[in-house]
Amino acid sequence: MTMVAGLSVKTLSRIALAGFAVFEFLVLLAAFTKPAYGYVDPGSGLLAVQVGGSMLAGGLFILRTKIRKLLRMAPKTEPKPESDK
Amino acid sequence: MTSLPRTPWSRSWLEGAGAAILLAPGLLWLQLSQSHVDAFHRLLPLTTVTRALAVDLALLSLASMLVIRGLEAQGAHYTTIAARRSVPVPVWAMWFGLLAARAVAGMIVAQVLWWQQITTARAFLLVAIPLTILWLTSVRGYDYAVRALRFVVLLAGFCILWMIPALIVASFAHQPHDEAQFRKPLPAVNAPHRRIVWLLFDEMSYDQTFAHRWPGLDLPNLDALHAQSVTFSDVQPDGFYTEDVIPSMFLGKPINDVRGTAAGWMIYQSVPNGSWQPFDGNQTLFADAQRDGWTTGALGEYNPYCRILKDQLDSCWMGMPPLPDHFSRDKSTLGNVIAPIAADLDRIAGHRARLQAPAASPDASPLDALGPVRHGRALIGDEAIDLCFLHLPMPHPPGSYDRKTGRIGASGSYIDNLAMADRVLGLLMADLAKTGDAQQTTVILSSDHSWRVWLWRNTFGWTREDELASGHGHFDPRPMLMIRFPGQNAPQEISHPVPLLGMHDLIEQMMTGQIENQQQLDAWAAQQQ
Repeated sequence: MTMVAGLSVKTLSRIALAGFAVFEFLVLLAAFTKPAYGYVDPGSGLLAVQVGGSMLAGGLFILRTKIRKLLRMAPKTEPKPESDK
Repeated sequence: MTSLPRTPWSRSWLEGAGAAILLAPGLLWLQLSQSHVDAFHRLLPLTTVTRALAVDLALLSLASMLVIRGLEAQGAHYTTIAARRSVPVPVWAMWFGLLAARAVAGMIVAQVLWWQQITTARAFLLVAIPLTILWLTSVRGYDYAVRALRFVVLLAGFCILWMIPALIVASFAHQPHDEAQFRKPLPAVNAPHRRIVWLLFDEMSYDQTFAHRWPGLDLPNLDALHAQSVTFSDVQPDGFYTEDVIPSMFLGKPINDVRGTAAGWMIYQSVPNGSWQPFDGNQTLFADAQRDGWTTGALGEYNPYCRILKDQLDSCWMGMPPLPDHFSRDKSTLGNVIAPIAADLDRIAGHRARLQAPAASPDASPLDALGPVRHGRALIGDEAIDLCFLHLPMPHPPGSYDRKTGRIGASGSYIDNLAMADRVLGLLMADLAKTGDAQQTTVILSSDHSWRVWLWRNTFGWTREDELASGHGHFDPRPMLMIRFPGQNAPQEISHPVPLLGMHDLIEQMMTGQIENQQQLDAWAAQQQ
């Protein structure tokens, strides 16, 4: 069994998990903000469109190869010249 | 089942950026909004705050990236399905629950969300519980769900590519340094003279005050003024939002929508889809008052009176909403970078903001803890100011008064706030009575709009009493309008419809001496039909 500073990796891993749980609990406590009361910012609609558009563009960028394949837009391979045969 | 593959650093950074956007302070969304409404309604400048938000976002994205890499490394130790079931907690479920909770908290601060059904705790549970159930029932399904959610967060990360540049650009806007309060030097007043005191109680409903009052609700000061005033019982509202209605009364023309510029100036639209025009203080009744030789004073919350009417007012005080998460225009960029951490620590410790205690004077009231009341009493007592406009933030929801104990608090109903408005009126009228000009002062009591039941029902702070008082959601659109002329001691009611927008013309005619008594007011009201 691999040991680090006298502790097994599995024990260390469990300690890290417990640390994460405590950290998350504290951050979550901080998330319980006092409710706000008011009106919708008229710019929030445009902001939502901007976020949605960015995510769509990002998705297209990440999946560009798969989309090309799906649409059969992969670059055609040039037929090899006779002499190469 | 094999562990999730380690992702490239660039992808981890994008995912971290997506998580950072969800974890970021809610103020981020308000600062990114193209409407600049937030800059309009805050004390300026906000440049150090905006700069700090850009830094916070960048730091959060790096921190989130490290957390994500850590979680991935953690998962690498549990390679089989049996091993993955033996993990003490489904960490990704907790992580996404945390992201959901913080995102909802941010949207509440940004006022995108205010339905009482949506809370941070519920957002956490709504995400974490289904994922945990999936982890208990199908580790493979859990892994697929985690991958899908990580992909969505990664897509959100693309937004950082325009968000940080947008914040940097906004942080270089030329914003004025607001004075929240000023009093220009004026010559001493030697003899009693005419004054107009205009008290605008935000969201006061004629229906709730006089037509269908809550059983047992005691409003002695409103009743006393009513007994000596001309009361309009069918005022036609000009709009339903304070930021539209009040400037429209100042200008004497309808306003459909108000926004801000990056520099914090007000622009408005008179008709839907019309052109945006800059607000011109020289076209307001305060400018007209000064041209007629009157001195002017105004105070209120939410609208930046001391900025947009700086040249047209001799006395001013404005209470602007404080920035959330300990951000402040008075802090340096570095101070604002660490402000949200201090705010989080405060929330964990359960600290709450305290109201300013009233000064210890014989006339002091617990209600003096409210800035508009404290400064409003001072403005009314300042006899050098001829035209006084007081925008008082009650009975605007949410409830913040206990009518039984007379204490200001964090809860209550619209009915409680109506009682608070009555007590405030009592203080102001008592202060007015002490002035040497009391017998020559015309008092106008109005509201900007009625109680917007349709806006507040089902939001935070809506109470059972509100539900019953509103007749289960019935909206009566009539705002308040009462006028007491000097020496008037009998009530009169004008029951035909009168537009609230007509107040501009009404006050102008009062200042020029065209309307000085009930008969002249009757004639004016008849023309408004």
